[in-house]
Amino acid sequence: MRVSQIMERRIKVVVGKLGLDGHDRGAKVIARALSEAGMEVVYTGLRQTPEQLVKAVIQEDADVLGISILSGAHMELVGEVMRIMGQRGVRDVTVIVGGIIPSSDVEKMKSIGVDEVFPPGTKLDDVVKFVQAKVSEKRGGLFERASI
Amino acid sequence: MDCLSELLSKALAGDELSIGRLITEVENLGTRSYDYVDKLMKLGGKAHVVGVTGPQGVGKSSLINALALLASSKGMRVAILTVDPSSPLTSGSFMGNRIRMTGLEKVFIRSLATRGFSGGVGVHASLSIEIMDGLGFDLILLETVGAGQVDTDVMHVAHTVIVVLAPGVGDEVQALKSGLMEIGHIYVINKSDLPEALKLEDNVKFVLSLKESEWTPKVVKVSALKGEGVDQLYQVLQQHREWLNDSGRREVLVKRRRKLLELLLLKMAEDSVRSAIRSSYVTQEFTEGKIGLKEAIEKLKMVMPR
Repeated sequence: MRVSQIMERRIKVVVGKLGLDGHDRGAKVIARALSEAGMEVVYTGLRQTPEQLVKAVIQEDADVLGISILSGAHMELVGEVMRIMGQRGVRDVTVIVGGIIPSSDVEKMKSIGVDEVFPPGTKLDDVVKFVQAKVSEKRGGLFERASI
Repeated sequence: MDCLSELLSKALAGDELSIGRLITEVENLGTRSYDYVDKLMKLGGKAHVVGVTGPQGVGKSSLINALALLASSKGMRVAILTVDPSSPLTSGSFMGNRIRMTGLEKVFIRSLATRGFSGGVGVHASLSIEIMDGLGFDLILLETVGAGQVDTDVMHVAHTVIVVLAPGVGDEVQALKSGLMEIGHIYVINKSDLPEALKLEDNVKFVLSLKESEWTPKVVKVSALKGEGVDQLYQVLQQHREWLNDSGRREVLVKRRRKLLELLLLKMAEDSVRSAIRSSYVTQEFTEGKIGLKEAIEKLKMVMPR
């Protein structure tokens, strides 16, 4: 019997919003775009704590964590996410951040382990391509096929 | 080899990172997954599997959240498996059920996509049930995709089926009677604070009264958001579990594992049919009218991989 198409490994993504503001449009647009690119996207919704987001990444065994943040507390909150992930032994997860991040903070975000920061106005296609390439790189090939 | 059993023993010890990995491995039916499934199936068979189904928008996720909170406060180890449809066009999936699940620190929640399976459950959910059962979870809450009349696979994999209905959404009970109205052990009228809830309750009771069964289906009014009626629902769940007793539970286990085989083999057969139709010259001959239907079928059967 040949490899069944449905058994191939899909890219699994957790998308959530950190912080207390109620603006989830950007996060939903990204989540939708990634799912339309064939990924399985778990949307966790508004007002997540770093702890909750990491828990979702662990339980869903996500390849990608997409964080949307508009509150201005991105260094603290994203830093906390990265710290908890490290503490729990979560490795090889591609972390992308979207929202209003001053360009002066982008390098700081990358230095704590964020893979990419996407400012408002980023093309959806660029996000999709980045995620596909990064996951492929971390996993050593996108299509790890099953044996059925 | 040792790193495989390491993953399994860590998962058995309750490490969430390992449990997550294990489900992915089995979901993708990777080479190692069969060993995991075999081992865990030997350990399993004890969990109470509760299927929660019903039309879209009736509040399945909120109800599951309330039930899981209550059960875990009583010391039960709870897993939630929530199934969302995959897009037939892109094969991606947007899974939003976690939004309504909050405050469940001790509960393991996993979102699964149907990946081309109809029936509302799918092989990935069936496999995940075996995993969570084998890992020692006491209660497994399975949320199916928003179900219609035909999405009734849940009855083959769950001990207890809860059908959730709500006033205003899917209250056309008459239209539902041939599918959902036949498979439930418990009918929840959710959003019971809404005025039309009483009328819906009457309708449901009427439709259920037309049918005789060994277990008389129970109707419970709940407001999952306000937390009302959840205690009663929990008690009814326990009643049904006790009513099933050991032999009944064993029967469900057998049915569930047969369903797993059936779903996997059907999918493999479906894939070979599609690939034969896609790649054989016979298809073209038939569509151009050069050969007849019967001949085309006979010829395609010959080229299908065995």
